Amino acid sequence: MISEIDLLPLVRSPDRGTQLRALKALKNSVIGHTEQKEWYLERGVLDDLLAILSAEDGVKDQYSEELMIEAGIVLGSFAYSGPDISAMLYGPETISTLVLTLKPTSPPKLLLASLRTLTTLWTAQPPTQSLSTAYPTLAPSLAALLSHFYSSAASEKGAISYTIITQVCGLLFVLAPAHSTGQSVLSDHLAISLCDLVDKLLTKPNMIASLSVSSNAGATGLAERKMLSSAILALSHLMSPQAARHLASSAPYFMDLLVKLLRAQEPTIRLAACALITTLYTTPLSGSGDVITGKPAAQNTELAMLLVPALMKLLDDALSVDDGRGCDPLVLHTFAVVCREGGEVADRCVEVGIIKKVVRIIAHVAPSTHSATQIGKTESKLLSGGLFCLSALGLHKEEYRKAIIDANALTIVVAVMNTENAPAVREIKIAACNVLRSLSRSVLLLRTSLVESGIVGGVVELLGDVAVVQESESASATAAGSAKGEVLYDESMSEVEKTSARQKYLSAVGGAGQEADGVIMEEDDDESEDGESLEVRTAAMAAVCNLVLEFSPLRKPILDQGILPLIVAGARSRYTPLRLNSVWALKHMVYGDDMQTRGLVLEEVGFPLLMKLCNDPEMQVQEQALDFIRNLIARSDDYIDKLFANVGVHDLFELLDGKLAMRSRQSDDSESDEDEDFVEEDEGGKVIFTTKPYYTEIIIATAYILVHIAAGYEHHRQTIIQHESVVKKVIALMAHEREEVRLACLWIVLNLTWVEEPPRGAAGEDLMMEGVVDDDAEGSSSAGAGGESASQSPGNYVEVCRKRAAVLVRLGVRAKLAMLKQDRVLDVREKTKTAIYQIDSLTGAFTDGYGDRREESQQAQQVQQGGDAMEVDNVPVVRHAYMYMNPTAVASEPSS
Amino acid sequence: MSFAAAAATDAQSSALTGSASRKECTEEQWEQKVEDVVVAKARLDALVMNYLIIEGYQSAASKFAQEANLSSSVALDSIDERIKIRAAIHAGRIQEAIERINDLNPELLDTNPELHFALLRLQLIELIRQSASTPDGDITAVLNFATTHLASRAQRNPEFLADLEQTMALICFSPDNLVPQLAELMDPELRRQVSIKVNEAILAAQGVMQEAKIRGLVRVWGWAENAVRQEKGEVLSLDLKNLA
Repeated sequence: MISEIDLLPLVRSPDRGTQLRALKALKNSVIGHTEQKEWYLERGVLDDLLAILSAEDGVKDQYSEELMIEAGIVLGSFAYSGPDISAMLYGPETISTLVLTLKPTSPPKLLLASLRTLTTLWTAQPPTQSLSTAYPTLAPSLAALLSHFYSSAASEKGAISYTIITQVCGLLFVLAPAHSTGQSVLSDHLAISLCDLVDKLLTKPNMIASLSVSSNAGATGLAERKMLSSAILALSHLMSPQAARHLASSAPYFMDLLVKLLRAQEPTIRLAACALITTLYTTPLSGSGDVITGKPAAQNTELAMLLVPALMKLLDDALSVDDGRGCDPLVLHTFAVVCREGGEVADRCVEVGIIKKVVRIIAHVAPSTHSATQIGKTESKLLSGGLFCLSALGLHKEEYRKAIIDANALTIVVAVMNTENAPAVREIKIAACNVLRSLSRSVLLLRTSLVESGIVGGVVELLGDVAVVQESESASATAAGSAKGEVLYDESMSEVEKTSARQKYLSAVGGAGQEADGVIMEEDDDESEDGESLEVRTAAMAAVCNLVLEFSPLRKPILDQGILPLIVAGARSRYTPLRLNSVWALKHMVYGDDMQTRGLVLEEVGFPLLMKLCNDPEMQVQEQALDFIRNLIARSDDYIDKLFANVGVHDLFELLDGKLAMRSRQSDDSESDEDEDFVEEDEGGKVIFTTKPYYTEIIIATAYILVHIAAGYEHHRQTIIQHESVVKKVIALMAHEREEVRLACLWIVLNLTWVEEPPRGAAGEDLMMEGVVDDDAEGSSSAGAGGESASQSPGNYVEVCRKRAAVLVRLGVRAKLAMLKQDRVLDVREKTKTAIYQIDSLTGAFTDGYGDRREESQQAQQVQQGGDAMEVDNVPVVRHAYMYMNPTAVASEPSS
Repeated sequence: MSFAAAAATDAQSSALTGSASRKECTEEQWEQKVEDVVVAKARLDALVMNYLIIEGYQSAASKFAQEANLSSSVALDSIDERIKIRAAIHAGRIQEAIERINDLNPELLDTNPELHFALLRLQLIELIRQSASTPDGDITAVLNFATTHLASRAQRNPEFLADLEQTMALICFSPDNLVPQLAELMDPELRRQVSIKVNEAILAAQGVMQEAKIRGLVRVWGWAENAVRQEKGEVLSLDLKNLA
């Protein structure tokens, strides 16, 4: 009979023999019995177990070892339970006690129990902060276990040694992909020890040969093979750029061995090899891969080509049984990572029918009802892996996107989107959002398949609860005693009561999470949210980005659902990826001619938040916020006025001035290579400006704000010329290495020297009324800090233009224009000619021979007014956000 | 040598069936062909070892491992344990079996609820058997056990519920006069079935295939024999006297 008596008093008995017998009885009474586990945990058995496990320094007798083993096993049994029970278990004491048992000298049975328990706990709740900070002994202990048991495997204890190594590798596999790249969770040192272990295994005599034939060594080889595949898998997750370099450079033969493993008999070994090669393929190596663009080097592409048939075989074999329900999700995941690189490898994958096959697999596990309970862990993994695969392909080519739609994948995406929100389906929802985002890159699909899909409700629901956001927003605004929109994310951070065991744990471990960049930040004080649901919101926001563009038929239905406050709330989030995607979505919403939406958005965002975002610590957020202003004021003098009136001309130009001079402001606190931030170098007589890529993006966004201001009313144009420091920087930037910067600066010069006939004093081309001009002139002189006001008469107007041109000339524009006449980009050369013509005709240096210039410059002005913003803003690319959401991929896209 | 013949020809026969032309050979030629196939001793040893481990012959396995200089990655003492577990189940000592399973592999029953349920149901049946054999037929222990350990599981899983209800029906009838469905439950055959499931689960957790390889080979031979006979060919059947 299973013991029905309370064993706790006996477990606490001072008599060690009694204690041991009680522990054994306890073990038998809890294994497989959920109610018993709860009963004992509620009565504090956890503390007793931890005490026994950490009592190593205490009494040493015949019982101590066995007591620890039994306690470890009971703890392990608790870990195999539902989330309620493992939450009672999950705490820093439990984990650190278990970590301390991981020593080569511990009894193997205890090691196995501890490793299993840690694996189970961390699988249920992935670590979110740097483990090397929280548990400094973890990585060295695991490395020590690897080397100790590898050398002892040769002895008679071979079996258990292999099993321990397999368990260590399993634990590493669970730990490494957690939220961030492996190296931030564990140490590089561990990756290198693992490299060495795999290296030793693969170079064992006959190892490779024996793997290519069917297992003939009976039980002997099996454990060793299991160890090999788990070690390779763990390495594929743990691979740091350093370790990758270590492998690829110092040991080219290692790659040959890996490729040979693709033909191994056992599927697990083939899959592990695929995963590792994929990691190596996607990890940029200095010298071979292009670190800047993240593009794989050519020889890596060749390597990746070998993966396609190997992976496809795994997929086909899985499909042949039960329609792929038993497929290892890792197959899909590996495919996805390979496909995300695009290029030839993705082409080949599509050619051999990956899209249809993936859809066939996930169609069987897709939810058929609103309830999320029917989705098990395996189904969830398969679904998210498959969707991840589709989204990775959809990023690249229109024809892939079409094929995805043709394969009927959208119904699956919609089914996932319309499933109730539950923790179990988060990962799938993120994956579905990614697919949606990929597909929405296609304008065609946006207007056809996506419209009919019925996804709107699902997406909006993922962004949060409209009512809650609005309520909390007004509440916090009242609390701060300020107008709506002034409560920003970094203010009034109050410590919120954290109830769940999980959060207690997080706070107990300390601020490690906050130090690690972008790993996890707690959400706005009033909605304490965990990282996972923030990730869902981030993914949904990325999907929304393209759906809210002006030409999207989904824009209105989405707006009608009251999405705007949710997006603005996202822009206030402390979680950087969400903030970025939210600002991105806002930027897309103010793009286009829909002035009504522009107004709504601006009202909701408010200028204080906007200015805050323009100075965000995160460069990418700044870039989006500046782009937001750029779109906001494009072709709308009203909004330029609003911007001036609300921000203040002085403050605005101070901001713009600062952005154009990123180098001087940023270099003080940036890294050692500060000199490279903004370098003027002499290259064959030409002065070339270079800036770091992310500064360049900011400069471009800022320059286009100036382009639009310069395209405004006369008094708008005057404000620019009155800020000579800004103008000087614009002229200097005409020598920037990036043509986008040079072009933007040329547009500013063109717009400032453009003589409009009749002059645009006020609202629009067909309203040329003196009175209106008058009003405007007053407004200008009041705003323009005492500068020259726009004149009422055409003669004076030309005079003002002339003076502007003179200022430009005085500040050295001619020298730069002369240089740009030889620019290697045709467009730059053409704009340069027009600019020279305009300046010459205003400053009197005009000579004949430019007869047709005038007409051309007018066209240029129209192009500028009519469609310039299209170039950047209309391309619905959300690449930066992507990196955050798929942390397992390494540098698939430029990190600039 | 007999093993060699069996193993080698298995590979050959499957190769032969693919060819369209029918080849015949005399018995001597056949013998010769069999002799020509070289089977590495290591492979043969592995095959034998595989059989001994999976079928649970511990002392034979460890002696063989010593003699053939094989290292086995399956802890040999676990073989003995498996046999003890099997014996306990066969004898109806289910609690002992469960405890032994927990000693051998503590995660097995936690991660395999179906197996655990099967064992607990077997335990319930044994309790019913006991109570039926006592004169007063006290069923308190039976009811207690069912309530504590089985009822909540059955609530969560409809299949478990059906099984439990059926089992509880045993209380109502005399063990000598049961409908066939219920008689099955009292039959020792059920113990045997559960013990096979347990054995397979333990082996699967150890990463070992659940059936001795040689059994597969014998089946392949049988299939080949059949295939040849259908083509009206003659072939030696796999029989001890033919292998001698």
